[in-house]
Amino acid sequence: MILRWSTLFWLGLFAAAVGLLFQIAHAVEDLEGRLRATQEQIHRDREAVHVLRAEWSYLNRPERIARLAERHLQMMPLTAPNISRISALPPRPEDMEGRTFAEGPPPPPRRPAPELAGWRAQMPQAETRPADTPDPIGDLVAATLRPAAPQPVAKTPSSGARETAHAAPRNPVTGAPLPVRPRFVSESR
Amino acid sequence: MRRRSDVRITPTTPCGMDLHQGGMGPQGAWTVSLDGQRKAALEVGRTRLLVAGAIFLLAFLAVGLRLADLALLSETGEPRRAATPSAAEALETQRAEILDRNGQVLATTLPTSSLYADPQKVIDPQGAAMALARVLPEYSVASLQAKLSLDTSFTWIKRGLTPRETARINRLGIPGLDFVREERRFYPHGPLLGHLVGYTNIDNVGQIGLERSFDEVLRGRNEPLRTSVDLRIQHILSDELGKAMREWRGIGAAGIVLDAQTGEILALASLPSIDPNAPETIPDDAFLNRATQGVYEMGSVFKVFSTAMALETGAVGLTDGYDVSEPIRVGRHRIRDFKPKTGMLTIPEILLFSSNIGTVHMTMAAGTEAQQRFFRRLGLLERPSLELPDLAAPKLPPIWREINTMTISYGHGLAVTPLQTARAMAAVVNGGQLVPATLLKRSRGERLVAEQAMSRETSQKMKWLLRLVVERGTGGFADAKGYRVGGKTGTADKLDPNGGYAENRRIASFLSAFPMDAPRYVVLAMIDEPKPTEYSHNYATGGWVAAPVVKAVVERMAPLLGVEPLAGETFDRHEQGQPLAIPANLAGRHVASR
Repeated sequence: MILRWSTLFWLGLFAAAVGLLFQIAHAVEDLEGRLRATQEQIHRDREAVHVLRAEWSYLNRPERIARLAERHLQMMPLTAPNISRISALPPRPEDMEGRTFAEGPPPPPRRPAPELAGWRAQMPQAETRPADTPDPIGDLVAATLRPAAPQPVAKTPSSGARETAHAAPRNPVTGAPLPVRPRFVSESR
Repeated sequence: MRRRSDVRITPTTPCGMDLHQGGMGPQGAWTVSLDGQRKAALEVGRTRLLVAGAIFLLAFLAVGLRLADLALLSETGEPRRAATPSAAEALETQRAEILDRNGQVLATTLPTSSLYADPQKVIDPQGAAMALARVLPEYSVASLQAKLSLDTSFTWIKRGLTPRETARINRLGIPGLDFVREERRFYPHGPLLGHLVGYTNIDNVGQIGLERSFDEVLRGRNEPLRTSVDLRIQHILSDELGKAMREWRGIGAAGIVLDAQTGEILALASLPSIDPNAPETIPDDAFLNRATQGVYEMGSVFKVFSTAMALETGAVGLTDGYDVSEPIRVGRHRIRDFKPKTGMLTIPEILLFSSNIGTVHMTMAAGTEAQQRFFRRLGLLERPSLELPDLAAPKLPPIWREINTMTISYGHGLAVTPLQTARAMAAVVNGGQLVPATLLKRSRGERLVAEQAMSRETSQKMKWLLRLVVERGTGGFADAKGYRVGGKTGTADKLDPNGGYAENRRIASFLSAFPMDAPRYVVLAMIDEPKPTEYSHNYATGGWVAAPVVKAVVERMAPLLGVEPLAGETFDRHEQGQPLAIPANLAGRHVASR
């Protein structure tokens, strides 16, 4: 009389609910622990990123980069004659259409700096460059187009026995000797 | 469960009278009614049951409501941090970072630990002091023991420990010592930006530089402060200034690179530099930021402004000229030229050869009033505005007499900061607009509040003149090939502490802008007290000392900033020093008689 089916059913449901509740509570606790751990990890990572950013900036001090570049790289300062426009480059060999250097290539289009030209014209004593004076960019173009003239082998002050053993590096187009930078003892490993 | 019975219980009155039927019912059943003690007991039991039931009902209701409240309505106890942290976001610090215009870190806050002691809890001060001294070798045992034996409950031992020191002290396990997590300011670039960025004290309060002027801002937010400074340009400027200072044995140097169009300061250097990471080691005389806090008589550099003034007021035209053979006598003063020329010089030649006499002549043609008005418009007579503390105000003559007008025209008698000079130069070359200088990066498309200090035509003429000075005049050593540098040399005698001008102490400066066809940057270099060398034929003038600095700076910075070099513009150096073939319209104006 006391243990009816409905009672059993409710008891079973109750037990299941309790079990489920415990499991969920446990799972939540576990997830919370993982969340806390992850958050701590994120905080630690952010702190590390922060410190590393400072260190990165410290290692990127311009004077340090300059020192390292001077020691390990064969680089030279970029000067005005090294910079040109694409339009000022000589035509490619395939665009030469059979013409040779001897006949003279088509003159490369040179942009005459419109603002500068206009500005000069407004001035009472606008100057024009005399014909003979050197022209850093124009000369570079001209030198590139001229057939490689025999260049005197430049004796650099630092050229020792090792340098003379093999030919000094040359510009592949003009054949002019490339500037030689004195090397340090520590580099010659 | 109801009990089945034949007895019908019907409502009765308290005295047993049936209210419905009265007497016998139709089926002949008896009406039974209870009364007396038994009835009373039953009634009491029923009431108690009711009360108990109501209490239970209320209790269950409360539990149910609370359950609903917990389950549905409240989220207390849930960790709410889950949404906020992200590895990409910046760390929350007490003080925001300072960045350069390209995002390089100039100043940041690093977490550190600080060690303190509670001396009353330290059991063995001597042993603890000896152990500590081994980890912190910069402290003596005696001083540590004295600290650990104090009669207080708190004393700092060392602040800003490195992580390694922290770990080692932790391993010592001395009772009474403890750490506080603190934050310390760190400057990755050290002395390079010492004056500009400044530093904070141990409690992270800004002391000088940007740290001081933006103290509140930096403390209040976590967003970095983005300055207009370009780290690379700053390095180039400070490197070249340092080289020149060593070469000419100067006592100091200053330099500014300013964007002529926007007024943004790309580099601002003052030597000797200071190391913000070790402020206690800075000597007292290095604190002065020569670029913004030092006022100097700039010398011939001012002829740029005088010439612009004379052209702007229309007192002279480009083709006018003056006789500069005779020194000008005013009272007991005599105004001479450094390298006297004879005969007539045109206005361009006066600037080219830096003739004091010619400049005085053309200034007097315009008058004192015009000079004051023009210099005020260029911001040379008032304290400039910039995001740095303790900016110096210019030193004006107490009474602006005629002699002051004359000397000020070539840069003596009015002391200004290099910052003002550079800003005025920006106005001269950018079409006449005086843009306020700033150390903060301007946003794209920001509208500038600029005053028109002079007409476009005057600015145009000045650009031509300034380029001429470098092409053919005293500024030849500043001619960076292809970059169209224009500028003016300046050599000013320094004031002697005993009165008058000192013989051998001067300031060599060069004020320039480039590229001169459409000026983008103003470069000012200044060396304090350069000593002449044999190499320079015993000159220590702006043209010898400061102009090469400008040339080197321009050659190094222009490729970085995308200034296109142009061909042409070359000029035969042998012609230098020869008078120009400029048609002169000599009116023969003289002020010598005044």
